[in-house]
Amino acid sequence: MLSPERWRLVDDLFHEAAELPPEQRARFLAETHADEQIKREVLSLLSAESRDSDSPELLAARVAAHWVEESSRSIVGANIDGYLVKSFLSEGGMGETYLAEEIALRRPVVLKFLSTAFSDDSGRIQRFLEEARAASALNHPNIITVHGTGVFEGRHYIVTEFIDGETVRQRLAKGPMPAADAFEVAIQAAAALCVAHQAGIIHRDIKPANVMIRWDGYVKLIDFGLARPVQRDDRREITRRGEVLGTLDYMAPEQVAGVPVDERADLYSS
Amino acid sequence: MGTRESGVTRLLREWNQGNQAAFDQLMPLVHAELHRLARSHFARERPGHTLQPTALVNEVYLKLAAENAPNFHDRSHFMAVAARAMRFVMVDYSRGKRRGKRGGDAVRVTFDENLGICGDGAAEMLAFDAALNKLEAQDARKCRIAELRCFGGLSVEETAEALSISVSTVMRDWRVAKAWLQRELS
Repeated sequence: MLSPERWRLVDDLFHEAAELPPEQRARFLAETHADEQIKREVLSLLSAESRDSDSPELLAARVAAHWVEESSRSIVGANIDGYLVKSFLSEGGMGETYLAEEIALRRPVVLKFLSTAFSDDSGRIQRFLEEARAASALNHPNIITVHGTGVFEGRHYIVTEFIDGETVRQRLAKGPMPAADAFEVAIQAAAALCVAHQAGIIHRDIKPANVMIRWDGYVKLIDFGLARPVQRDDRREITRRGEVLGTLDYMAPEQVAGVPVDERADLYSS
Repeated sequence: MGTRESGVTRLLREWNQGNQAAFDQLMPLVHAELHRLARSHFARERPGHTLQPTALVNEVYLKLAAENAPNFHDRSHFMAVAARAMRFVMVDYSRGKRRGKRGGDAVRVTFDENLGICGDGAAEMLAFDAALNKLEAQDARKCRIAELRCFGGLSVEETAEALSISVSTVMRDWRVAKAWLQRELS
């Protein structure tokens, strides 16, 4: 860094030299009383100016354009009813999930948004909210905790606890699980299902991607997106008759067939 | 909304009177509004309409301060805050891009072909920010001018007004600042 006096000299000489045709600049500088460091600084600034490089304004405009474009598609950075959205986590058929921080309590949470594709689909919205109700009706260490629901810019979302870990599917992708570990997961998942079933809720979509293993070993059932009360209630028939939802590899035969399902369907899956 | 707007007005006034802490309190308000506007713009789905970033900064001004700071002088002052906020936003964004943690790159980015834009420019932006910090250490006023021109999209006249200096000083300083930045970035 140059001292203020020497920088001022660079500034003055730059403008004086810049007035001259390029070929006369070096001679002009040579004739000044300035020392070598000053002359080098002035010359390098003059040559940088004539270089045909990206101007700083264009660079800023370019990055800003990308940011605006991406921001408009993302809610990262937004404060949504007291939840500060930190990062995108995943995208699925029903919508996206984001990692967020509940500002008041400074705890990590997950915001799960229903896809905009379903904004006008009241059936989907109802089913989405049913997921929150189903899971929140259950209080069990092996079932994901639902903190609440909300609407942001016309999109419904569910707030759940953040589970720091991996899904069984992700775990299996790394290689076979030791039998003891798999057994432990099955026991905890079955305990969760047992509680759900006692409460009259069938998950209907038990599969490796919907079972998480927290780093401390706790197993958590997530994604109650297809869960429904066990009693058939014609006024609240959420999955339309004849419409089959679920994951084929893990569905019980009666669920695929579209006939009424009960607790046994979940156990078949697990 | 009323309380926030009057808050902005008060902070702007205090800052104009030389209270640097007011500037620091304005920053998060402007920052949040920039984010909000950027997000909401395309949510409204306006096909064929590309929002220019400088228009965004202007929109932040209209939203937060226009009612209470309607004259040219106040607008220029507000823009100094907005330009700084925009710089922070750009740097945060670029850091996020470099870390590769933004949406697993699932988001496809389109760009304004008229500007010949390509690449995300994240690395260049971080270098630009570092160069601005270096320039600030050498010559704070030139750094301010570069910030207003690049991130606020201010004209030479607006920049002069914002910094309470003459137009010719802005032109002189900007020329050196630009050469200096171009040298650092090449």
